[in-house]
Amino acid sequence: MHEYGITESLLHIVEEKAKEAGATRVATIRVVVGALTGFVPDCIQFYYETMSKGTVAEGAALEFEELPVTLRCRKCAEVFVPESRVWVCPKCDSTEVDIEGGRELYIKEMEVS
Amino acid sequence: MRKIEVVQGILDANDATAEGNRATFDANGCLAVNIMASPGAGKTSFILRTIEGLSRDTRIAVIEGDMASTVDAEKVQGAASAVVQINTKGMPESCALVADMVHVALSRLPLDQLDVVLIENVGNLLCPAEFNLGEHLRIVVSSTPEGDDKPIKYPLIFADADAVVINKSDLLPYVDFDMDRFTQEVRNLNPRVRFFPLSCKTGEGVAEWVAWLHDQRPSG
Repeated sequence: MHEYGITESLLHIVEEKAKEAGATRVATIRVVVGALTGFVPDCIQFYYETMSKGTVAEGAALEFEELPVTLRCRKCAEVFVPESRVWVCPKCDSTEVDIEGGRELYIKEMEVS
Repeated sequence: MRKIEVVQGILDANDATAEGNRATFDANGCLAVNIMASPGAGKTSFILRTIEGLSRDTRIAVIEGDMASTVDAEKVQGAASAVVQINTKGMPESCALVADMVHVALSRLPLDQLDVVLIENVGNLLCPAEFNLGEHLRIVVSSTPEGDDKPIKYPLIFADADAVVINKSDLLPYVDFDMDRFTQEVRNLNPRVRFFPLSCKTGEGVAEWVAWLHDQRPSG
């Protein structure tokens, strides 16, 4: 639901980076999205196609890399990817965990010419 | 064709604006509270109860975020020192407040004459979790008829909360809400969180919440 503004920010960063690099065309944009965020890649793609028209990044391929939720057990420090929505440490069965990964939302790299 | 390393957060611009908001609140000695909940959890009633509980010695403003209408702003108009309504319909984000909207709202508030700013976010448990507004406290209002499985379905918003209010405690005898299960699920994500079961209808439990909030103010 909030992908419009996200796409706007993304395009803004892409245009800035392309300019810094003296690029005339952006071919690929790799975006990393954590599984805990509510962002829907298809939705970003949809807005992107309209928004990027007429920019240096028009027609660029958006590639999404989804990072899983990773948790750290507070009892035994095990870092794990939960198997279900119930977050239990596979090593010691504790349910007390900290979120290590899964909140990411960043542009990793771009291919330009 | 060449590769450029970017590694730049897409929400960095929002976070920078939020930092600015935070500095503005701090400079004016205002406690900023981001109140998040599903539609119908009772955010507005909760704000009214909070104002009623605090107001003897506290000057309070409310920033109301909604898709459309000024219904909530009208409800709190008489109770708060100042109210700013933000309608998010037609804005880039309509499902949550973002830092820039709060930034605009701040320019319309007499901050130097305020102690507390209550920010009523858009009713939604998903999107508001993603956007930092520059607040000092993040409060989730859950209500007993919504069920006790919300922390499993929307972990992020509960993981980052400073306090979780469980509203409509007067309905506990009539709904299938397991308080122990709910609080355990939230604690699993967030061991430092405070819980405030209360009823905005009867007023039960409101005093405990208000006392805690009062203690969070910079002046204590």
